[in-house]
Amino acid sequence: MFLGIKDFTVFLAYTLTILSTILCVVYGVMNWNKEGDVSDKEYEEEKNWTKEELEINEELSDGGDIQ
Amino acid sequence: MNVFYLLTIVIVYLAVITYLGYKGYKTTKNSTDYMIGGRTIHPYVMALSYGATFISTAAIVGFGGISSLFGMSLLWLPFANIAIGIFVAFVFFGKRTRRIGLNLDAHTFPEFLGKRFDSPFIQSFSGFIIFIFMPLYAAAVLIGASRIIEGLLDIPYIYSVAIFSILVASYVLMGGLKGVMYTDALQGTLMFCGMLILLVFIYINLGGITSAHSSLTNLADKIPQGLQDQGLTNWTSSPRFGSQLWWVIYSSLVLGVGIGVLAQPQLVVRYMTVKSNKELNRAVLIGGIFILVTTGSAYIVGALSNVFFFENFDKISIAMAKGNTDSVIPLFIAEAMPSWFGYLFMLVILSAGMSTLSSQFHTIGTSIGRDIYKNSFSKYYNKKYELLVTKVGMVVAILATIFLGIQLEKGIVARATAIFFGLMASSFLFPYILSIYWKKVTKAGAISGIISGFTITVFLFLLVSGKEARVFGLSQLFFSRDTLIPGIMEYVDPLVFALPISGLSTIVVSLFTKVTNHKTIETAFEGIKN
Repeated sequence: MFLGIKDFTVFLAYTLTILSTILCVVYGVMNWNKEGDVSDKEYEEEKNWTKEELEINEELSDGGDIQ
Repeated sequence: MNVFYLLTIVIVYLAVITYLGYKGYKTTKNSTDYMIGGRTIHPYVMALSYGATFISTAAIVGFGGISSLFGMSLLWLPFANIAIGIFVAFVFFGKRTRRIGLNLDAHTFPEFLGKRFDSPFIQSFSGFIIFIFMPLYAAAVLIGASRIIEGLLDIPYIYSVAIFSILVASYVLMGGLKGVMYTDALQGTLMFCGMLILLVFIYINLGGITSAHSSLTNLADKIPQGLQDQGLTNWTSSPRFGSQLWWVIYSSLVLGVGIGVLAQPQLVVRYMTVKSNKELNRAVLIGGIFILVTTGSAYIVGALSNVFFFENFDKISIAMAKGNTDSVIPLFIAEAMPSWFGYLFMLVILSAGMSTLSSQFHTIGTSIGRDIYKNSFSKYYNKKYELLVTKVGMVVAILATIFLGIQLEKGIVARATAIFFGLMASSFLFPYILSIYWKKVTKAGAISGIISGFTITVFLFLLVSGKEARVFGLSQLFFSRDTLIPGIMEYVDPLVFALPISGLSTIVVSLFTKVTNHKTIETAFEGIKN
């Protein structure tokens, strides 16, 4: 019995669920400030993408601008 | 439950959601237009939005309920949800997808694939698959939420479907899709808090972690005979290797949903909303914790509900829920939790249901309008018609979802979710992975991968998979038997065959055909280090 769980594979699933979360936390902390540089071209692309995305959302919602 | 208090809380909640959605939308719009700071989505918002879209009432109610029946071996799924659905998805898929998506200016998953392979056919066909099958998954989410409303308000199921459908349809059709990411973040926060309280409560109530698990282990002799025959020996053990239940749990629920998340059209587009990879790195941390608490709680509470019900009512969960796994979690909330939690949980469920459904209908809308109509009928394209097609398509999808929500059998939520996730993985996963990692994958290769994965999955569901084949009745009609291949094959998920065949066919056909879209590939991979 592991933590009251009969089968080792189920205990493993329980443990790996927690360990994988810890992996996510450690990865997030270690890379918190990495890969933040954005080139001008990328910035421009992102801006245009967001603009078009907003237009799509407007069309889906009511077909017009709400401002 | 006091209906007056409940109504007040729900109305305030809806007002806040609408306000936040509108404010979030305006902020994004202004910052895009005037290029001031914060023009794109914060990692907390992105991670919570991804999480709230990913984890729905289907996961909480459907999979939580299934855990009460199948036990804790289902915990492999939250492990997969975190390791694959968050870590692998963000680190290995998210960064490349974001870069390629922006380079090609893709706004939907079908458009991403279509533009990457210079193939309008891929975009239209993928849009078609999503448009046809997404209502099944949406119905699973709708049923999940409706079962909770039914359980908490003690009203007939049909009324709860009607109430929730009206809420969601008005939300979607009256502008709810505009600030989806911002409202998702609030909804995700509510889900996180509610599920955390539920988890802490059940462990305290049952005397701590080890004591709770031990009590469940000791209930082995209460496992119904039918489940024992299918391979279950203990609720804290894995079913017998190769048994009927083993295949259902591992091939369909764990593998299908665990891997299927990578090819979910409504989730893939989320990667493109952040301004750099830094936000994705940060979102890994937030997303990991979110999924642990939301899905981990649902599955653990589902399994442990057997102990609570047995100690208090001398019955196991499935007997309490009169055979309907989808009713286990609602019943547990109503019977075990203090009444104030019922109000909070109602908001958790509204959040979990609305955040996923709004994203599903958003995806359905863009599939029919942008991926099918605009892309396939470009010669006759007219903006007015695109809007009309989109609206009509969404209304049809909402009605189909409600119809399925009423018609589908009891205990279907987890299964319907797994079918959709499995179908998406079988059809798109390999062409998608290869499209972001392998420049030599060709248009013909991608088309063969999508078509083979899709066709095999549909064929197996129609003729071989036990439950589905019986419902469709084609095997009975043509071969005079319930399923074409009786025996264990009935319980093996089609994904087990369709996914490798789709992958193999994408690779083999690519090796025998030539890449013709060199310019597109150059544009797509710009800024990506190999």
